[in-house]
Amino acid sequence: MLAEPRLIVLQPTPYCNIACSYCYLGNRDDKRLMSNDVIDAVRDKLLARLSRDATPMVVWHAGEPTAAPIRWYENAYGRFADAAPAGTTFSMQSNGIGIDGRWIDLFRRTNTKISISIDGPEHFHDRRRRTRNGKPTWAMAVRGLRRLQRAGLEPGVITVLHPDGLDRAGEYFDFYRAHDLTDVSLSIDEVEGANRESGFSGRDHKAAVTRFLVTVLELAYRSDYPLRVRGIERMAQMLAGTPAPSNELAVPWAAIVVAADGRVSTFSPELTEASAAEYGDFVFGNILDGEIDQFGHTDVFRRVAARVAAGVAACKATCRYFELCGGGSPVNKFSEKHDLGATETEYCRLTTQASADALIAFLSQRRRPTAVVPVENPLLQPQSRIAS
Amino acid sequence: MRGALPLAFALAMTAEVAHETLADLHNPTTPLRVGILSSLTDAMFAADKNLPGEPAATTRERLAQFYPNRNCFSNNFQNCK
Repeated sequence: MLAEPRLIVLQPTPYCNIACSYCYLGNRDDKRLMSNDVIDAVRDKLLARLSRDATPMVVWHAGEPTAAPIRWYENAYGRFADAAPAGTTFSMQSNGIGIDGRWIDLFRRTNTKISISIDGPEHFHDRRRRTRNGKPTWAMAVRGLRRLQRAGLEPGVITVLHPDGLDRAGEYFDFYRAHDLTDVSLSIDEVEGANRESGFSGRDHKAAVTRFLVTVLELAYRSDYPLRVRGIERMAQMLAGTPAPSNELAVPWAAIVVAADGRVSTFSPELTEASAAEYGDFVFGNILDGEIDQFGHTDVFRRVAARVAAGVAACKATCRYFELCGGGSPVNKFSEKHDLGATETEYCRLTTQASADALIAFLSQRRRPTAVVPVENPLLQPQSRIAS
Repeated sequence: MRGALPLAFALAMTAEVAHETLADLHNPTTPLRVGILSSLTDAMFAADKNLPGEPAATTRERLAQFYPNRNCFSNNFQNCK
């Protein structure tokens, strides 16, 4: 019986058409495309075997998905059409620079949710996200963003933060507001794969990241701009009482990663960029050669899963944030500590912990306004008033 | 369209009118448990006249269920309805 993955990460191609200085991909020059054999194997051995009421999210990711031709996606979606459960959602994480009307048409036809990587204001973004011949990419990414917005597709944005932006939260907020962005995910420069060193390494930046988040929240709140910072919203939902879903990064096969050549892994797509003597390259099989549920019976998988579970147990025993994260991110534990069984990482401190601390600080700063405006609870208004 | 009201802001609005101190959350030895802000969400629901007196756990579930679809088109989301 195949476990029901919540997340399926598919790599159309390892190739990326730009060269960010903090990229974790070691093979981003590889222009191979996922073959029809692999696409069909994903269909037959994964999608078709899910229960019909499953609601997995399929993410096209890593390298740059728009480096694969539109016709490649038309072919892939066509092959998946009758196999994917009706509740399957598709999304794509893109650098945005190649997005034009033809891509927008594809996203519409396939109901694919799109998110663009933009590292905030132009000077921060262009410091690190540049073309292969060193040219800046911010203007091209924003052009793609605008096209998506004009088409009504409401793209989200992922921003990777670096230490040099942490005391400039106002500039980031101004950027989001000026570009009508209300759905933002803030990530950090991580040590992973080919990115051997993060700008955050060597100094504790947790307080600075927390301050950055609080400042962005304050600016948005005071100016009535409904900015949803995903990490903060996730914390708010859990602290308000919504049980956290299991941590798909630490639960075997809750996330399934299929590389362009059919290699299969789990826990995290970034894990396929790592290797270790005892775990190999964290690839547990190839979808062309075997069945996914068999990959969970290999010795190397058992070793990886056991060490990941030990790390989750150690987190549970020692960390006040455990209920909010479910045991951290094994790939970050391995990348930073060279141990899947490690506990707290810099990634934990600067993402989960900083988000929780920022929300608590933000809420703790609330006082009854001096000029009180009666506030009705907008969450509980009759459904007829709610627009979708 | 300005998007949905962030839950963090709904909690903040409630904290302003409910005078919640959230003191426990600042104790570094206190585990941050799911639902630790339930006093705030209880206050949020208690203040609402339309709520049909259901248990807090149920209303929190409703919050999670309905929250993503609750959009506010007003420029001032604190007054949206």
